[in-house]
Amino acid sequence: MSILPDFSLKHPSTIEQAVAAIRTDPAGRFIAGGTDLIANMRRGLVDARTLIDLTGIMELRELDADAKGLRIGSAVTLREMTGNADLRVRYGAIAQACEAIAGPGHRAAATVGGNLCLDTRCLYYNQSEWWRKSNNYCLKYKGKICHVAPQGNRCRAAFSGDLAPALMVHDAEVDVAGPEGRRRFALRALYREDGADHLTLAPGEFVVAIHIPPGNPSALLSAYAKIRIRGAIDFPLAGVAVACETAVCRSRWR
Amino acid sequence: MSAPTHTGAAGRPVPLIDGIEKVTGKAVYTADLERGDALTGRVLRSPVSHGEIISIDVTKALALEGVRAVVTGEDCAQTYGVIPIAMNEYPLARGKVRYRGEPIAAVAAVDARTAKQALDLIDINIRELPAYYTASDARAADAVALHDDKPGNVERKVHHAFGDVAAGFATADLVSSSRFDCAEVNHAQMEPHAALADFDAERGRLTLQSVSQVPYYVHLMLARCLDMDTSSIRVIKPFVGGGFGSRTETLNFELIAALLARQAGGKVMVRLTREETFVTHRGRPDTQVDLKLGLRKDGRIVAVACEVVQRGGAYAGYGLVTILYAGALLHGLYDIPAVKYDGYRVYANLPPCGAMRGHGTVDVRHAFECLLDRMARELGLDPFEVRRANLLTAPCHTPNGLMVNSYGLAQCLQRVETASGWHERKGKLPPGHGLGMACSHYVSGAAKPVHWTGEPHAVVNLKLDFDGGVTVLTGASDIGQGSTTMVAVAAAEVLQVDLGRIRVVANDSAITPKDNGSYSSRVTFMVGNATIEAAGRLREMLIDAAARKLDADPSDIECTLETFSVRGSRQSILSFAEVAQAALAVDGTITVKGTFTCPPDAQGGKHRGGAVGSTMGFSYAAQVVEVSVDRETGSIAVEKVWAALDCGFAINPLAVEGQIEGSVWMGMGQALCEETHYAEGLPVHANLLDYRMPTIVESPDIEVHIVESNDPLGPFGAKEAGEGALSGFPPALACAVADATGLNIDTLPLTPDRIVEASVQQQRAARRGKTAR
Repeated sequence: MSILPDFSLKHPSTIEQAVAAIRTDPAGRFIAGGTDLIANMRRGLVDARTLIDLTGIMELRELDADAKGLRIGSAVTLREMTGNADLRVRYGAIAQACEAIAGPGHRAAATVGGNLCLDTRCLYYNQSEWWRKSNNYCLKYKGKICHVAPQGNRCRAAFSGDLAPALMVHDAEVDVAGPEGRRRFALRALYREDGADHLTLAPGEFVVAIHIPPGNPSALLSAYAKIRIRGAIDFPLAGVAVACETAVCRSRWR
Repeated sequence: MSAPTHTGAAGRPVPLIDGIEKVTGKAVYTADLERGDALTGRVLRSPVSHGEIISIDVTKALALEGVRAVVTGEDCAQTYGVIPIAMNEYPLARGKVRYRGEPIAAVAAVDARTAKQALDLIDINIRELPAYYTASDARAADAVALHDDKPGNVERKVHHAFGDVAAGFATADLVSSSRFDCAEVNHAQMEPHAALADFDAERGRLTLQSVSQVPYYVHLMLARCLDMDTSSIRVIKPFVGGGFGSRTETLNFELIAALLARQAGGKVMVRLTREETFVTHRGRPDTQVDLKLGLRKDGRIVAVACEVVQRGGAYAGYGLVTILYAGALLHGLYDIPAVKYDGYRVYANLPPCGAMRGHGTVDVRHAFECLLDRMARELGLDPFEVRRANLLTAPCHTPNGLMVNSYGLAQCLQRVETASGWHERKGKLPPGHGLGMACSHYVSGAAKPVHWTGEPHAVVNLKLDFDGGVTVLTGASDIGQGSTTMVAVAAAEVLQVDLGRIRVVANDSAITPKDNGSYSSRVTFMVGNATIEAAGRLREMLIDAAARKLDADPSDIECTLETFSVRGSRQSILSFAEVAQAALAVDGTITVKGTFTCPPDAQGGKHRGGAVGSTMGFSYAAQVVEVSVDRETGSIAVEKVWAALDCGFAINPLAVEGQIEGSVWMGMGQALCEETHYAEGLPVHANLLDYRMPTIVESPDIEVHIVESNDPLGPFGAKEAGEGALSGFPPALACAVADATGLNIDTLPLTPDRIVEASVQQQRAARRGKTAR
């Protein structure tokens, strides 16, 4: 196995401490499950001397459903999500998307926030240092051209998260924290179409929680399906989430 | 010969005797051997696909603190390889590099970080040459030769014809042909490659431990490449996490570890990454099969013409054997009077291919069974009846000289036909569902090994000592297939002792007898027979001792379940311990030997290359696969598999079942989703996410049927069980997809994109047909 580069690991127990840690080391990276980040670090894709572990912040670990709607802490694991009976009944797309991610071992460690902030993927990017160097690197990291579309000047690496569309059809909002304070906005605004810089988070910001408005979940039916080559441990070739509210839809989905 | 009777250990399902270590995590694999006292070895690999090495400057790397050795092609001028007449690979490139990832230099340093720094300090200057990634590009008229002695980049051409092919086609009622393209696949064994080399500088001795399937070959190649006497080398094989053919050949990292250890004068651990393990390759080549079959209305196959092109990668490796296997095993499954075969093994600037489960035969069998199925449909014949019209009659020799002594294919067909409800269900399944079937076979060991020395094919030593324990010493490599358990069961059966009395010591060249290794499914047949002979000799000595003690004639001594007695007498029963003691009293510790040699008439035809495919006995398999296909998404679900295998006799039915399931599963990977991808020679697939093996989610219910044809020469009647069922799966699946959708797809694997593409083309063709009308 390729060796991991040296790094120091910080363990904040509050959002404030996490923000303070990233202020001290702006080149640091947040980590929760690490299922994406550590693999990328081994491949020399992440240049961070400090990792800030968010899983010790209790607020990020909470999953609540009440009159105010559903609140999912960003460090809730995918396994905790799939084990939640309420989620399965009232938020079908979200539960199904969680279940479709990677394999059971990954889901035990991987988190909701991690899946939303997953790095984009590309066959010219998710490779070893030897590989990428032999190929003169690429637009996304250290290189000058995109090997997928050499004529263009935009990175074509694709976002492969399963959870984002499932949350979006439930009108999810994302709550983020950072050196400039807290803010909340529609989940769809978290993303932009640029493989090299696909998240709209400001420097030092991290996802705290997902909020889903109360609405009338008993009348809302949702589902998620993905196409992948292999039936498990595979990113989606395409993923589709649907939610509908009419009685006609309800009968059809059942 | 009548079927032997089995009263003891053989024929009972036994969990593998080394399974406990594996499931409890106690088993020590090569990578676990490092105890903090070894240097870390790392390999610098070629960044280009094809080029002339102008210079390699290691001065700065050598000067780095903590670096103990740096080796390049300068340190070894000897080629290595598995085929004595085709050794054209150096442990570290010399003169030219021929694929991206080929080792150029290696370092040994005090830790991994220093080793990496040292690699970064090596300056290489390579003048790039044109590179070829397909067989057709490499064969183009103006292509630069990868190897000077092979203009046109064809490593080996094979032209074999048996019977009157033209006359055969002339009598056919239907002649069809098609081209099949099967993607390159890799073994993807769980354990990445590793080797630990320990050089004793004072005595000039080397000990190497590695993941090899054939430690004997490694031993020979170490002596050759390090110019050492074989007696100064010791090779040990620890637990191995899977082989499937990838480790039959000696591999570059094993030689590199030894070169580093000698230069450092110490111990060096080389652990390859998953990517490096994939780059070392030796998998099944990308194969193009052009097949033509002639069939009569009654289902008889009257002629076969087959052309195969294999893209073999940058070096010879096992190549000429692979291209010979592809043609030789057109024979031996069915009774076919006329077969013409033309094979071309082509060099390309990619990692070298090699042996992989079902060596050389899988892609050709896929083409054959698929085309036969289509032709049966066209003639309105049932695919089972077509097979029955072409059965061999054992004993016989095939037109190309292969010996067939036992043949359970008819029973295999009958078992899966009945179990799957073929006739009741075929054609009556819901839309999108389908049934397909296919047959396959494989050798029980090559009757002529590639390193032909005239020695017996297998040697086993047995030791009985004061403790009453029986130790079996064998060079057979257990790579997870269960050979150690097979040896123990065979010895226990012959000696009529409890399995717990047997210990197996395997794979240490200083202790165990030489063995040709675990490849071509040879171990059960050859090492099993050698074990039976050795155990028989020990049993005779024990019976003699019991006779003396009981004052009886040896022919009157009965030996059953750890006891010895005079036949018919109930009074005097001796225990195993008493008899062992009496036997040892004569001459002390008893050591006996058993050997096995394949008779000349098993060693194939007299034509050039005729030894390849020759074997003591073929396993036979038939399987039925049921699928459902989603035409919108192109995804295939394998609903159920019925697999029957004639393994002669199941010495350990549990292990046989596991091997059949494993074969089906590996065939399923190749059929559904496994394939390598290269971007200008860089492996895009070199990790277990992008190289998609099926998971438990895709794994269907596999109903296994064991058929026992009792081979007259097999150990207890046994033949191989580990490979025969693989090559039937991909065609059975493709035929099931055709049954479900009407799509005849000529490529492997049947990934969703290929299904959708074929579906779209079918709809277009249907629309065109409508317009035309």
